[in-house]
Amino acid sequence: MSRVRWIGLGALALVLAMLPFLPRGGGDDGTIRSTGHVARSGPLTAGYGRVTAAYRRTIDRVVAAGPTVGRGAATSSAGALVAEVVRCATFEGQRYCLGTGWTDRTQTQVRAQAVRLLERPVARRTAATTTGDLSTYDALRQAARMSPARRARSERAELTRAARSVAKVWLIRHQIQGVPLPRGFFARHPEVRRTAPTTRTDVTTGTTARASSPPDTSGRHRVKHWRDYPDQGKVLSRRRVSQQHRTYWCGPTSMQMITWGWSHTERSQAHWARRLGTTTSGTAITSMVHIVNQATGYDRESYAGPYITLDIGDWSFKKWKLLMARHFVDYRAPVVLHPVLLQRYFPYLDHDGSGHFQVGRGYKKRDGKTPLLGYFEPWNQQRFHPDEPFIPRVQWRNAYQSYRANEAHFQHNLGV
Amino acid sequence: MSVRRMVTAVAAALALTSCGSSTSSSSPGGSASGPVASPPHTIAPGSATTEPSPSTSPVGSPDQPFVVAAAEQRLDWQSVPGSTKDLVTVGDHGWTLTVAAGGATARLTGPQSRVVTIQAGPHARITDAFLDGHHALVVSEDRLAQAPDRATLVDLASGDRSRLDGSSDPPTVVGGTWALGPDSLVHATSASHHRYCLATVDLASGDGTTGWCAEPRHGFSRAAVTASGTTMMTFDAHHPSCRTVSAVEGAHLTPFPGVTDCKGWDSALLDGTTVWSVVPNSRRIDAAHFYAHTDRGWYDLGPGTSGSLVTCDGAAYFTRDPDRRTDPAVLMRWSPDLARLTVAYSSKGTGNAFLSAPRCGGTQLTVTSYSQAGDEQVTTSLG
Repeated sequence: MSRVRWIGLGALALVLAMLPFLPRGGGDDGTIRSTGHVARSGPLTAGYGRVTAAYRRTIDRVVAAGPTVGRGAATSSAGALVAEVVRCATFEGQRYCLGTGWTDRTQTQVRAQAVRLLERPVARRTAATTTGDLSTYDALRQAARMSPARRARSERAELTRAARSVAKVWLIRHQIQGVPLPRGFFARHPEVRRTAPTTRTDVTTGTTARASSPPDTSGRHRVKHWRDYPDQGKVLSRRRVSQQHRTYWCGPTSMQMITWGWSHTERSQAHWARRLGTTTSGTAITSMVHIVNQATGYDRESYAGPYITLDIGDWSFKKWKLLMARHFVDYRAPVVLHPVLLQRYFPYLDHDGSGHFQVGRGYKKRDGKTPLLGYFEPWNQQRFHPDEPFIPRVQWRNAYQSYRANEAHFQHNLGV
Repeated sequence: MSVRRMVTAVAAALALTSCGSSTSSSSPGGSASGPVASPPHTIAPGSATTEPSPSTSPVGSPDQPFVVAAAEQRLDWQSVPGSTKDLVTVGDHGWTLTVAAGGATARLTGPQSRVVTIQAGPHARITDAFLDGHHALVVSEDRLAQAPDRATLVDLASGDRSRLDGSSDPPTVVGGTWALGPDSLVHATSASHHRYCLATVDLASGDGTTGWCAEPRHGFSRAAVTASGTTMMTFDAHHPSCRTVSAVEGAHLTPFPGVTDCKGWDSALLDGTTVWSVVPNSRRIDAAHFYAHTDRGWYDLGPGTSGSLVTCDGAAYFTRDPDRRTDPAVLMRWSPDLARLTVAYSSKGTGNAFLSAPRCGGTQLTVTSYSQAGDEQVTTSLG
């Protein structure tokens, strides 16, 4: 071998030896960069399950409990309106409330909160600047205005979607909240993924490979902790962002960015407003979740599985941030964030806003500090308030503030 | 120092110094801490001084401001009764202004059980509320952003109320900045040829005048009025906006000297000195860095939260998130006369905590803390 070749081989060996010491890179380029992350947990998520006979009986009963004749009167009392619209179904021990999502609260508690919100003075039902999520008042009125037949169809479809995602809910309860899985869970839910694919990015080539942990057979799983996750996780390219064109289009704009990230094809906000059923009152989070499942592949079992509307009202920040890490790293999928846009949580705003949608897309651990949450912010305040400067759609901020803003929303839920 | 003298001094300083470094962190997730504008002077451990010697020449420079070490000097805080969801400003002589959660009403309570309730109206919400030793100002904004803001000014001594709205001269506009000072208030207004301008209303006479106007497609925000004058952030239509903090007097705008180009956010004049913040990374819009300039030098006050700068009783205050998990969220106090930076308040618990922007009520300061260890709303007397 010539001297030149020996030198070349030596240089190559030196480069390879230095690889572990190369910086991971912090570019906001839409890839998850991890140098050695291997998940050791069991099943991560589930696909769509089947609607069992028991589920069908539950759905029939809850739908039948709705009004069979006439439309809800515009003048109905808060209590009557809530009782008519807010009904819950329990599937395999998990409770789903129409319009609210999966919750640990009882139907009585969910209804009581809705009544409290409705009984507020008119001015308190909505904020000064309505950016586009649907208030309780408007959601209930919209439901009450439907004909009984149409509402029954809508409620049956919503409950059926919920029933098909029960395994996903149980897995989140188990893996994030530490609730033991019920006996026979795996036998009843073949849709649960039995291997745990993980993302591994080769820092030298930038290519992403998938690895799988051994199949789980015992039903006992090592639950991943925050410390098990890499320093950062991130999905969606920062180049595929847009600002909402109408004050009440945070939902369609968030959906535009989520679907754009999935398909790399941009559809108009008007298109997504139609798909979501957005009105001037805004968009319901249950619609957001439904359309993510319909219009992207993030609902595949190899990603997040079916998106669900999940009540996090009694969750600690520790669990909330673990859910974020799980979503961005294990599921490789964005989160439908649902904060309330108050200045106390978003001090850079010059005005308080309403409930809102953002696209959660990453986290960054910081040594000894609260982590940062990365998100796409559809609300460009300058577009509607010329007294405010433009700020970019790609934002990173203290995750605890985002958690508090999510918790402070009257629905305190997420699309995950 | 009068406003005119201040503006002249600012202009002179501007002519003598460069406008600061444009260096900034480029990492979207970069830490808010650490030097921002340029490598500053550092103080060796063990020999740190919290203030420079008064006998020496001015310390620091716009490019290398003197890093001020914060001393612990917590004030005596009292708990404010009621929910932390209500935004309370405690004032002097027993006055308190409370904006209820949701912004439907503001309740002004005073000595001898005096109560004034101000309603936002059926399609509006209270967006700003100010209280000082002599006046309360409550601003409500139309929810659909179709009607101009409506503000109620209450004279605390007489109880007289006056209203500012779209029919006032100068008229209010939809949204826009509002600020209350000891002698005047300012708000955004519209002028001929669709110009967007700053109006000043004299509190004694009630007379209003239109002053500085923004260029087309430019704007202004975050006005602050003190006895030393009025300041605000101005910006252009670029994405992101080029933001400048300036002193304004009449139709004249004078940018603060020493501020990193296009990065300004908060600003205030305080006894002839300037205090400001810059947001170095527009993808971390709530992470700011604070600075001050007096005739004794240029000071680096460290990281803080954008939008949190408030002046009260001769000092400037801003909030800072915990630097480490073992730190609380803190309220920083900058005393320009002593060139002294102190920690005036610490949140309950450490790590997961943050503070609201403080509210000044004359010589009383109120702040709300949100912490995993428990929320609280507290007030202290500065007088």
